[in-house]
Amino acid sequence: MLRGSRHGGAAPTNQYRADSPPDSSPRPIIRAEHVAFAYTADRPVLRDINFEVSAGEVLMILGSNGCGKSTLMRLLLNDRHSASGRITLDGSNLRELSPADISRRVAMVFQDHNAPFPFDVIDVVAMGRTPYLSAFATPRARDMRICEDALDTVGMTHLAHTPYTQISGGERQMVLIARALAQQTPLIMMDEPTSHLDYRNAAVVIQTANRLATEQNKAVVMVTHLPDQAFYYPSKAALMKGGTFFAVGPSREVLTEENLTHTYGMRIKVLTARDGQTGQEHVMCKPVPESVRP
Amino acid sequence: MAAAASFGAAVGIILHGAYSPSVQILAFICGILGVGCAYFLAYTKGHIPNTMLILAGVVTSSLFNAGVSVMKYLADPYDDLPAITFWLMGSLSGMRWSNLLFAAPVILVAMAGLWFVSWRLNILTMGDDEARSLGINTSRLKIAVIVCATALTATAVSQCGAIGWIGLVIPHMARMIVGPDHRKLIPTAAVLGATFLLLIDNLTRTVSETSLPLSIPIAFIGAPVFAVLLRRSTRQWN
Repeated sequence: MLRGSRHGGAAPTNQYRADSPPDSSPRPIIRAEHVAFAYTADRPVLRDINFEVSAGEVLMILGSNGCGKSTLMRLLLNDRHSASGRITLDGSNLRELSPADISRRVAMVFQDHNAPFPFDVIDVVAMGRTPYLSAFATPRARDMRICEDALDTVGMTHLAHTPYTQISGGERQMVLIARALAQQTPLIMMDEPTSHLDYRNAAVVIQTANRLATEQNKAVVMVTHLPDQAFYYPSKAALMKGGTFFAVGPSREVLTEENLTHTYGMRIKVLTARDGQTGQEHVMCKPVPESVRP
Repeated sequence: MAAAASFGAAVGIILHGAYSPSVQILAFICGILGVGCAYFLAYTKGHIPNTMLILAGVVTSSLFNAGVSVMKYLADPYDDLPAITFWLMGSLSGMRWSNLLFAAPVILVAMAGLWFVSWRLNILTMGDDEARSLGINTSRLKIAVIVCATALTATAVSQCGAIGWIGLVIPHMARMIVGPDHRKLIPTAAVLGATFLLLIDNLTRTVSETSLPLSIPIAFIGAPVFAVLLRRSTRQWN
């Protein structure tokens, strides 16, 4: 039996904001209800996806290659009209929002990022202000201050006037996170933000993502290939297989040996280690392929 | 674009002779028609992928180039054929103040249009997905840019023939001087391009009795300059 699924029973009500009491649980920023999508009718890519992320929460989406993780992210950008089900962004139906409306609600940090021209880092961050500018305008002094603050938050102020093409991959990822911050959206989505990074930078990005949730009260949705990352901080996790979430909930409840083994089609052990000095418990997981088991 | 305009000019020359205004008018109309064809070919499912646009441009221009060849083949070899050939090489010798009446307003308006969207153009260089995630309607922006660029090019080509290289070399030079920000790049490229063209024109008028078709000296200077820039930029951007 798979544990941790939150949406099994009754359909959630659509007017959760109107009839919820003033000081209720955290505000849901993104809510997906029965979302399904297919490029061609006979091959569904996503089916019956249900989840909800509130302000201050991190959701890690895990799954093997090609299970539909990136498609789910792109749904918000390109294919929102052809998807069925309902996605609510900060209280509004995604289908009724214009691209500019969406860009004021969700910021995206992409993985495969090509920058053909050597813009200064601060100008790349300033691109995040575009949702607030009219079509012919360019960022003003006020926008630039917001961008400087955003760079400061991720600790990249010293690179503000360095060409974006000359900084390292880890720094580039932090700059893109700063740009997402400058976009001042309640939700930030990251598509495999650590896939090209070294061990340290990957940890820094995960730490930053969690700081955004705890310190800035952002909702963060992150697609990742490393289940360990979901154990670094208390967060939510969703396991995806065959285009649907088969388990969503707090990481420690969802990321069980049984569920992980099912997701990746390979035996995976979840280990707990106790730090001898602090007594703190660390949870991690490790693949145990049949062929190399002692 | 240039191929389509050339085709229009060739048709104009054959129908009405080298000095009739229909040469410029037909060049302008065909230029716009050519871009329209390329755009229509590239349009897929509500989007215009960049690679499709480039390939569609190649297809359209080879089609119009074939059209130019047909016109050359059909043209009167003593009168029209040299006129077509000279037109294809470009020249400022036909310029009078009256040409500005038509050309200046179109060029100024289209250039201002491009400059107004220069911030959004910066973002478009980061890729379509990113631009869309920042709330930009990429299809609409591309249409606006293509319309402005087409109006600019069609006007310039219809007035002084197909002068290559400037459009290829000058933006790169401008980018090396002021950086990739289109807010500075567009005005710089415009001034630099105009200056370069006039310099070359003055040079050829001084050196030779009759004014040499501009394509020739520009290619002789432009090609080596572009080769150098290409070598330098591959080092810088990789």
